[in-house]
Amino acid sequence: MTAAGWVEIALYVAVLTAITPLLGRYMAWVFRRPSRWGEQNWKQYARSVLVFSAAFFVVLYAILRPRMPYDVTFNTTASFITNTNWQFYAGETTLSNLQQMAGLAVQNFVSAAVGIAVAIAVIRGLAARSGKTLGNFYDDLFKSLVYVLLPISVVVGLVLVSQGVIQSLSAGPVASQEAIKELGTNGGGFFNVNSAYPFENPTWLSNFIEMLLILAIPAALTSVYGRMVGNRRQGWAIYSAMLILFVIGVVVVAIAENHGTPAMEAAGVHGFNMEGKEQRFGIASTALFTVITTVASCGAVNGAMESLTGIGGLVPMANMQTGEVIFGGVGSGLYGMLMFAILGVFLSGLMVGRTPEFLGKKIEAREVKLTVFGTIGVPLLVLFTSAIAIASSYGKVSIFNSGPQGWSETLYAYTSQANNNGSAFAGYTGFIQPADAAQFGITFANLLGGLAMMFGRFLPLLAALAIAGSLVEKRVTPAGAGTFRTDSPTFVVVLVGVIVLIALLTFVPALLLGPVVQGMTHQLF
Amino acid sequence: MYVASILDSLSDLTSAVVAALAFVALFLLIEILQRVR
Repeated sequence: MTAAGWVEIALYVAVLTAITPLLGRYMAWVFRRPSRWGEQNWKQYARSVLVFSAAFFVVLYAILRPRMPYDVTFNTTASFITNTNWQFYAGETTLSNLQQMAGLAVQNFVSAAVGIAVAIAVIRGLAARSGKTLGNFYDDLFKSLVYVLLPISVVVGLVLVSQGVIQSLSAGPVASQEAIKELGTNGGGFFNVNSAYPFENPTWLSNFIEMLLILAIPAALTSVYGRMVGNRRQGWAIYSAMLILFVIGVVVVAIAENHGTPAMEAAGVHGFNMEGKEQRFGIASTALFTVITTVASCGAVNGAMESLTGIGGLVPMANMQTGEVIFGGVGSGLYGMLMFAILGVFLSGLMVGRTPEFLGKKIEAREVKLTVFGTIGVPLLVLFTSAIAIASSYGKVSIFNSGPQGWSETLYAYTSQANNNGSAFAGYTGFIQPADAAQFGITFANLLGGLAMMFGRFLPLLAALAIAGSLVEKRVTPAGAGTFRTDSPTFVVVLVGVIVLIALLTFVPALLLGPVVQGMTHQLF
Repeated sequence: MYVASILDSLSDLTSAVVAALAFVALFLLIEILQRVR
């Protein structure tokens, strides 16, 4: 990798850090404005989220069904209402422009707005000094859509058009879907090959803008959090923990791809691994995009994930397996990270023998149980669904490659779906769509994947709202000499440690069997 | 493959039942989480 590549990575980190407080300040202003609808407690808020999502499930299913088998429609609908955007279909050959615009693009906005709304509600629960309510879901949803997502998407969409992203009814309304694809951490491409395609991502600048859009809101929400709890250092502490894990991921992928694979060496091919990468992007931009899209629950790609080296492919999987909390999805990343923060405070409290507090509120048995449920639920879902898929004949028909790569495809598929990411190891399929025969879906992969996405989205979401509902009623105790400060570098280290330990302990065996073996073998799969 | 063929023959009804069960489970989960002590 060239020096320019490292400069690009450093530039990205600098620009992201610069825009975080700016966008955070604006979003905090938006969400501090009084609600025009009645206040809701956590249960009312949670029910509104589910009712809203169920209603859109029906609408989107009806829009997509004319061009897809029932099971692929189920999977795709679950995918887009949960902000996952896992795609068993190819947009340009399966769907019409109208379906992409009225169905998928709309859902790109709406599902992202749901995530932001819930994150804001959770922040209110932590910030409140007394009360029982978390705001109003529909008011937060409206503000997210009208004041945040729509204006940014319109402006950036026009910038992308200036770079050559197409926007026409004949060739496809791509730019209008492209901006929200990244801004909402959706990731579902208009074209099957996503941002590797010049019509979606034509230049270095468009690539940089798209990468910036993916992390813009998840990063800004840390600033919103700091501002709304009245201590900006709290937000920077969360941001720092996220940034540390993010930078480690980028460096590992960049180095791994720069060294190629043992199989390449055995075949007499020396140098870096350019398989599946666009020549115009190279190692640095692909490594950066790969890590950005998997730390956030975006899933847009500018290269082929399956063509990464063993270790290069391990990092995106591990990023998702943290529960998508390293910046994470819009909203879901922050409330997921706050649950890890509560876990970190609890573990630290155990070590010093003191009742844990978070932002002055006592963390007791109920909050810890809910936090464990919210943080462990999705990893268990990933392991459970992957195990069923790899052990059953129904699941094996979706796998393309053999050996450890076949296991990696399966693990990646359910990791990505349950964590609402949406990127894929390309071999894994749930939709057979030959040009000259009737199309049909692979029922098992579609239904199991759809359920993984729905429960992967809503289990932590409901747990986070329940925790917020519990904490909102607690009185704030002033910080004393023995209080473990959550705006300190020590806390950042604790937070990083808790995330790494939980992800590693849960997934190390599975990762060893897949990408690690793949990275050590001389055999091509 | 009997299960898959039955699900396929029911087509949209399969989708409706699976989605409905998932959402009902999630609504019930709200009540369960409320009772956690």
